[in-house]
Amino acid sequence: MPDILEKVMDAVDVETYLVCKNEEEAERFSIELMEKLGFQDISIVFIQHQGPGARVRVRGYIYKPGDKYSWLFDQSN
Amino acid sequence: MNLTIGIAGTAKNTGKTTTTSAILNELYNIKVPLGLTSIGYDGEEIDNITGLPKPRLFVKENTILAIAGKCLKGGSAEYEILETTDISTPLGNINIVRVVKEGLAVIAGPNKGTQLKYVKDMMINDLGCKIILVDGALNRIAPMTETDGIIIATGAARNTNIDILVKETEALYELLNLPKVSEDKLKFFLHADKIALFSKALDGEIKFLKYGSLIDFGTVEEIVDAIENVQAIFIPALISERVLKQLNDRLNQLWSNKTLIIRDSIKLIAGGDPQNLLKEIKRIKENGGKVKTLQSLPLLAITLNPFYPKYRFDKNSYEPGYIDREELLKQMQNAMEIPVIDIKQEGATRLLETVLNHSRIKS
Amino acid sequence: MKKKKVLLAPLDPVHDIGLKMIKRGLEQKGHDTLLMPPDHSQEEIIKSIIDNKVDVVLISRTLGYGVAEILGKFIDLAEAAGIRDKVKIGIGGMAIRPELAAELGFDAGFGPGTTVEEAVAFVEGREYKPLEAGISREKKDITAAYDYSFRNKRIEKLLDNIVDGILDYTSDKTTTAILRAEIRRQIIDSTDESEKEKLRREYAKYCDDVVKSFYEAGKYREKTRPLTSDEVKALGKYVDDVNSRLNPLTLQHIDKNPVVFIQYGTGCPFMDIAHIKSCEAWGANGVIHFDPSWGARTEGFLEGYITHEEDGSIITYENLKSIKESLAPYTLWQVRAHRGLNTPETVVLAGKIGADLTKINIAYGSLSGGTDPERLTVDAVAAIKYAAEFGMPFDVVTNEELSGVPAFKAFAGMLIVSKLGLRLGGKPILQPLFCYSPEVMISGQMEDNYIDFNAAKIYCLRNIINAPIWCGAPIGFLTQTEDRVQSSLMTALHASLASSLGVDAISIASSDEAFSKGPITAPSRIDTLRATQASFRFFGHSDITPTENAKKWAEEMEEGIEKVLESVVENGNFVDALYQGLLGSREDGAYPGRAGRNTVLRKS
Repeated sequence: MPDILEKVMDAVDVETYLVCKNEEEAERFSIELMEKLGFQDISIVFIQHQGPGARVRVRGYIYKPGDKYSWLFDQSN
Repeated sequence: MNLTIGIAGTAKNTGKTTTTSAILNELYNIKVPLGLTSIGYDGEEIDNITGLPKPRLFVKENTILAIAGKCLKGGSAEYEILETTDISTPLGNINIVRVVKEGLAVIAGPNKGTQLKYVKDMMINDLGCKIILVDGALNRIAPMTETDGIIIATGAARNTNIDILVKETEALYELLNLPKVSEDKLKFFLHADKIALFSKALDGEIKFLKYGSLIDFGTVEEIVDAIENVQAIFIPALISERVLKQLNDRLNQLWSNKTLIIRDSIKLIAGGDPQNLLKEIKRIKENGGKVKTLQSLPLLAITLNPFYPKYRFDKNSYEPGYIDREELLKQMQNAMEIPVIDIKQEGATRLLETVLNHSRIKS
Repeated sequence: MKKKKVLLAPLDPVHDIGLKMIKRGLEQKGHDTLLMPPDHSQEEIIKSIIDNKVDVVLISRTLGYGVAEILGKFIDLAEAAGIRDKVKIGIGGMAIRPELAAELGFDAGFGPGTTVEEAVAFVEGREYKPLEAGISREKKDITAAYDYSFRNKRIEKLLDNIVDGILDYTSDKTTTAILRAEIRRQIIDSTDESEKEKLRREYAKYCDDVVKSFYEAGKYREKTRPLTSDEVKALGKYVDDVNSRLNPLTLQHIDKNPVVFIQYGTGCPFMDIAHIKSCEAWGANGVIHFDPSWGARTEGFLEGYITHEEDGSIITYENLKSIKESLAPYTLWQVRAHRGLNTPETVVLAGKIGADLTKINIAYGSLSGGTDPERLTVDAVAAIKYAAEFGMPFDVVTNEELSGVPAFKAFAGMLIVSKLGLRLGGKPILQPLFCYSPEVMISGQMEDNYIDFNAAKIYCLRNIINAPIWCGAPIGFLTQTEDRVQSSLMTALHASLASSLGVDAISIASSDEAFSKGPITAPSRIDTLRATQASFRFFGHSDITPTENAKKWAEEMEEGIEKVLESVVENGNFVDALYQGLLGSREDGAYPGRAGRNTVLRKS
């Protein structure tokens, strides 16, 4: 199964800027965004809300230490 | 005659706001001049913790409200500001307002007892209110000493186990209905602001201790040392559950024929868990002692809400859950001699009757 | 003010660093403080309040779990113990909001982001006024501290000579741009729509065909479109919303840190505004309007709210006005007029709408900006007069370095235009580049470090004149890559170098500076603002020390400037000197521009 996400060593970070009213909203939107993108193990790495919106870095983990890493077994690497 | 009623909830979603709303509506029906305030802030549209919608208070024209500056624009009701007080809160200074256009209101009143008294006196003396409702704030009980009686909203959101819920409510009931010191003896206590140890004759020698509150073990030792010649112990301020237990452990039978006098039950309830406190009160009685209060603050009624927000682990969200309503009502009613009402089902008519009977005002 | 006794108590199993910081802040203000060890019971805290007769209690609670129960109980205890009316009680912690503090009966609630000063104000019973809204949030006049006196008198004399020549040369000349500027001013001032229409028809006569067809047939240039009234209305609301919650960060850590500008010019005035508001929120002190390059080569401006699909935001009265109206009152605003065929009119629009600064440079605009030297010289004299009239300082940028012109030649041109500005009553600001310019790529002055040559430029200019310096534009240009970390770091280090050298202002890029395949984004703007803030914080009052090369190169530069100015004086005509390449030659990479060649008119 050539799932491109298996090529990700550990996680995918989404760096963006969300137009929102406050930090709580930013947190909610960040999670929603990642869920919409199909990530399951989501962490908010960085969030800073000021005036018009929030600078965010949201992370979707593909592998955490201890998982079985597909890229380890993929001989085409 | 006038009457100030406090409405306290034991947890979020126990129906405190529903209860307040229902009483408000009944009072609007009988057209009593009405004042409304709260201890602190209440009236969020969405319950912060559970994310479920929460009713806010609908106020009609001419109702007098105490409301913090930042909340004036928080609802749909419109106001005439009668006075902006010096009472400051994190949400701005408290305003006394009259509703000029009915609508939903976010009520955030003063959160200290003395300030509540100021607002209450103003509503009664200057603005002619006959009934004042004091909407409680979660986790706050102390300012309720300024009311004439309280209604407690509890239910499944507090605990889904009916037995535990009944026991806990019963404890509150017992504590709030402790007997009053007889009128002729009140004068001996009213002005003491430190713990006072009265000798055999009340007008005899009085030993005042350092603190007004029973919150440390040093005070316990002082009481124990002096107990021989003491007839009554008066504690004007806070009584900590932990320290009261310590005192009981030390005194045991020495309580015999002695009276513990507290200013009001709230000073007790604020200090710990009602059931544990009741246990300590019972220990005093079992050892031949008495417990009395200077000021009564009766529990007028219990409103029950069988609803609770049920957490769904699979969905990571809350959804409505219910416990056995009939069973809850039956057990609660059996335990207490005050009205127990499912406010959503029954409405507030019977509740209000009880309240008005208590104050003997009829419109 | 009365000294207060303050008890600081954590309602946590661990100590909160916030309380310790507040303790220090209170002690600095002369208050007595008592810090309770962690993990004491609530009763013990109450007892301590009574024992110590404190005036104010500050409780911290870091953990969110059960916060309402614990804090509500604490206030109940305090009230039941009879001390609630005698002490003020504040609560701080990550999970605290004013609403929660109110609900729980506290006198104040301090959530995340609370400053020590805020807590001190509470203790002292003062209303808290955030610093940002006061001292550091005033518009700074970066020219205020300078008298423009020359330290190098020889250079001053040469400049005076050249400026005399320029004024003499331009005295009997005018251009369609100057005529348009005057008509534009009348259009703006007129309240009579039919008169405006008449003026527009006259205006159109002095424009290129593409602009003419707009005024005559309502045609838009390709890749531009008018914004709808819905869009304009929605923008107003958006800006109001954002302004109501704008509480900007402060980039500067010490007074010496320069004012920080960002350039905007996404093409769309609305996206510009969205970016500007974000930059304001993250602490930018000023914003620079960046117009499209074709605007420089077109005779005449359009009107209305117009958006553009490519780089640069179109200058129209309405576009500029909507940007101006969206700005926070403390944000400096520069509208560039430094090159192109609409220089005087740009300054009129900027001045009329209330810009704080503009940008004018004949040498750059004609040697690297594509405008004919004679045309721009005549236009610039008129533009500088407008700038002086509207009280707008202007920077004199030296971007011709990017074409390969050596710094000393670019500086010679900058000093000529600055002296011209001073003579016309203006307030010029020197704008040397802080960049990895082609000159040093070839000659190697940046082989070891990016510091010495940039420092040399500042030393050199300081040796010549006491004038404000604004490093541009953007700082670190050509040192940045497409990677946001590297790019932001380069910007931040250049910002700190500028600060260390004591300059007055800097223009910074976004972390997308080196990315050329699409528009830059809001996050990339925030990246460099955050990086700059961190770098200012890191260096504080400590300085970056250049090597001895910096002083040596500064002297060489100064000598070079003097030689260039001598050659211009010798030539006898500034405009001709530009054509001849004395201020940047074809060999250097500078080509006299052709836009507007032979369009200078004799004054009638």
